Amino acid sequence: MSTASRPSIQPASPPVERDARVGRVGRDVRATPPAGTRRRTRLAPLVAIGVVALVVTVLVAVAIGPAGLGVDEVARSIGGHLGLDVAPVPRLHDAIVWDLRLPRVLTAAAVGAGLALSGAVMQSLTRNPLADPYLLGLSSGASLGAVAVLIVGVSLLLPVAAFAGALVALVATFALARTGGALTPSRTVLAGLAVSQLCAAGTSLVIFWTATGDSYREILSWLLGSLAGSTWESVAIAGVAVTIVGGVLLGQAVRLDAFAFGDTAAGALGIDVDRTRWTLMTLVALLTGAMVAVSGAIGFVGLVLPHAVVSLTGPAHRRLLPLTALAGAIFLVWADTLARTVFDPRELPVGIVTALIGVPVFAVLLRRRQGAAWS
Amino acid sequence: MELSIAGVGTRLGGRWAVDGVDATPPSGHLTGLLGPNGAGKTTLLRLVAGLLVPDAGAVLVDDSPVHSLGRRARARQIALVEQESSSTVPLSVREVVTLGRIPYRTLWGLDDDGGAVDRALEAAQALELADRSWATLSGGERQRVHIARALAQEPSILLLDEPTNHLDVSAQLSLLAFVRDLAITSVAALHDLNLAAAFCEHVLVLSGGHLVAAGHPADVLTPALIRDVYRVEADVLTHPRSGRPVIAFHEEARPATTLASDTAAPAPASGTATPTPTSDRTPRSTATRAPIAASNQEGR
Repeated sequence: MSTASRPSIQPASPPVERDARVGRVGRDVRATPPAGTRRRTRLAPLVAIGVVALVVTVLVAVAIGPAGLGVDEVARSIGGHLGLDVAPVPRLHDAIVWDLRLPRVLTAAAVGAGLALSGAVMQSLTRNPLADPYLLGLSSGASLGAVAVLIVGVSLLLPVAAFAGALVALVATFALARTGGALTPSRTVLAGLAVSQLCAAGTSLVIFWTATGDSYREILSWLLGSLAGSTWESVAIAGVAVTIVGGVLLGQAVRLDAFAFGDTAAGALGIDVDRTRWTLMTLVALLTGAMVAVSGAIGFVGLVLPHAVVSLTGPAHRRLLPLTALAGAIFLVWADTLARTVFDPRELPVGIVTALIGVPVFAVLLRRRQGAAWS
Repeated sequence: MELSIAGVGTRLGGRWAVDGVDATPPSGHLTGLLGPNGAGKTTLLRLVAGLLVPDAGAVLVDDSPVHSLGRRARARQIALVEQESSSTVPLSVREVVTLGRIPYRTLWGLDDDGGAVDRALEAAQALELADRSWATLSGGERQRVHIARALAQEPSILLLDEPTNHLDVSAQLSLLAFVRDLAITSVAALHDLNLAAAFCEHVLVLSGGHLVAAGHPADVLTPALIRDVYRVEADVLTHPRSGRPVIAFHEEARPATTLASDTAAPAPASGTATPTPTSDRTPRSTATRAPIAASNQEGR
């Protein structure tokens, strides 16, 4: 990334520069602005609060729904399955909790955490506040990969194919964004839009061609995302992926910090820029692939959550990543709970709910960046 | 810590952006890296920083090649302050400076910095900015914070790419005085010849990727060299107080060559192609560029 490609970093109307020496800054009105200062809360309490909030979210979300369950019943049902000595729950209620709602809620939590992590990592690596697996086409690519192997009927390969699809879409987006110009945020988003549309069309085509039942519903659930079909198998796929890849990403937190001022600065801080970028991007594709394999392409989780959390934690990734993951988990559980209850008994694809929340945030981000070096 | 640039060259896009540069910036002093736009200053700095691997020659730190050092080891020796470096990340000043500790961190982000961040902030006279948001700083303050970040790397060699760009006179002077007084081996790419003359112990002049002169500014910055390299007529005076060279540029003595060639004014036949007799030393730097820069700060 050449420094010459972003010449307009200085403020549009440069303030009168002053000597920044100690004595003179002390007299400057801007030396102690309340708005500009920031102190960070400690990490451990934030994570503890996040974990408690997630546990409460899961218990309450499982209880919400037509059967009229109480949170205590949910806790007793889960406790019973975990081998704890608790008062038994009526069999029907136990089945609703353990076989239907808990897998769905846990899948939502894992997918939310994975998508939010993916967004945070992509935004840092590309220095693009709009980067997100959905906007840059990874999710659609993963959907296409997944439905492509569904034709063959090998559902065991589903996550692998989704990963391959995400990776191909990632490479395609960046190759397209780089043709004939520098890799700017807006070019990247436009390229992502093109790749995303192509993959969505491919997904629809494949389903129309092959589906025997309700193909519209199936297309919707791949393109907008749905957690309706969640099973313990989806919990396992999404949970394992988010635990392992999330752990590796957390180990790369310092390297991600180094990208704050761009590739050259990261290189000068001793980071192998190209290797780090492609390793982390591949991990993001892996994570996105696993998430899409169980839930379809749910949008805007990766875009919204990192921006919401960064104001709480600050941009250091050692703090940002774990809290973004927790917040993503909580967010998607509630979004899915809304999706399945608002128009009960009718169910919305959860992607509609996340889009309703995500698009205004997208607009705010665009507005905030007005006049900055977008191009 | 001895920095030596030994026959270094690199090809970018099929041409030698830096070609056969031999130089030894004096240890513990500020060296100015001069030359017109496109002369290869930034590329040479990136080579010295180990960010580019040379296609010929080597950059040696205490006789070992920079690109054979490990990345982290190298980042503890050499720090680079880029020309214009911005971030969309909402960092505080202290967080920006702490980035300089990355070469010292373990996998889990632990670093016993022993107060290095505070020392760097203090050295760069940016301690009182520590809790400010980086986005609210002025250009001069940002540059200081970038230098503090570089100092947090505790480097023995500091590289700066046009650190005075976009700064007002006062900020330019205080910044370069500060770097000079750091007493670590520093190399700064500079456009302003008068700043180089005033603050640098040593200057290297690049033109078309070649090193065309090196030495003390008083010896190097002569009217002939300035004419050869920058295509500008100048007189070199002596500063009444410091005794250092002061370059006074003048436009009118220069034949009306490239400036006039686009307008109706009849240009002298010898003018457009070879404005001075020594253009063979600087084959690339002239033909495409209009040498309007009678002022000492080339606009970008």
